[in-house]
Amino acid sequence: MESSLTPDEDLVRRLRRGDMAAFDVLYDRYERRLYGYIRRLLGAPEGADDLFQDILLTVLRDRTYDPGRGRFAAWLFMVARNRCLAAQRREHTREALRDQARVHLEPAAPDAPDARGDTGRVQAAMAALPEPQRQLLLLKQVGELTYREIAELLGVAEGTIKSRLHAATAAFRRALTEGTGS
Amino acid sequence: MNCQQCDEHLIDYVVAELAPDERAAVARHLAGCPTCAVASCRLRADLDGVAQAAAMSPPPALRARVRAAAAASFRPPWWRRTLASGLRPVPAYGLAVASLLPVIVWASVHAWADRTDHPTPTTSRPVVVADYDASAPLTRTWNVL
Repeated sequence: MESSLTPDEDLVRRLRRGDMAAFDVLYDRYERRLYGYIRRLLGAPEGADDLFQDILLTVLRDRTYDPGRGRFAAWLFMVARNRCLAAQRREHTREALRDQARVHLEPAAPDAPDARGDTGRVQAAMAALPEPQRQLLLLKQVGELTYREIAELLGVAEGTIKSRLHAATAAFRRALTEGTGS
Repeated sequence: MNCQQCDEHLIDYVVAELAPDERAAVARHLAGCPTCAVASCRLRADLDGVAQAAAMSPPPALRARVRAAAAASFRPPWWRRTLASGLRPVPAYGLAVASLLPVIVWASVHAWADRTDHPTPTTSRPVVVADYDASAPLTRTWNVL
């Protein structure tokens, strides 16, 4: 019997025993968050599908992940972040520095339906943030990682994450207000 | 807690990263301070907006692709699959047993009937009571005190 309350870690254990129903629950839980996270970090739809599949399968297959020792979400988004950064680096080598800089600073291309209304404004405000602040907000709000998990991921102190999140939220609020005013 | 202290803890409060006692203190302040309560609501809406705006559904075909790859990775060994299929309560098994039931009943009834039609012969001998005289009168002795 599937339950929305079944912890991710239990589902991972069941999936490793061949229970594909556990896969379905995990997929439903994370598909929008993970795919959205990848798309926002990449900034372009190209390669997002392959990266999504690659990240999900890597995390599920990885036997070094012990469900008893850490949260699945933290592990998933840690792998996702590393893969996205690696993909960005590969992209850097392909493009000229000038083009790369333009792409890097360009707002993430929103989906056509999302480009309207509040969602479009929020996406525009997110895209206007510096990359580290955008990543931090995504890890916190989309990945739902704790301060401690983000601190471990980024290799900084918890207090630093807290103050950076304060700054990122304030910058996001400013960007949102300026976007509304314009 | 004053408004400045509340503001310092507000984001931690909204993202549920406060210890229970600090959380209770912020909640108490928000209950009595409309300005901070509005700031709290605004912050929560902003952060919820981030999550909602960032979430995006992958193409539906991608699910089948990932699922097939995962199924290939986590396919259990043949003996476990056989065991699982044998233990699974499939309705077809019940149907098969139900269809065989009349045959089993018929065969049982016939086997029993055959056995009762031809009882096994047994050699019966009359019961002989020694020292019994049928012509002797019945007597009863009463001992009256």
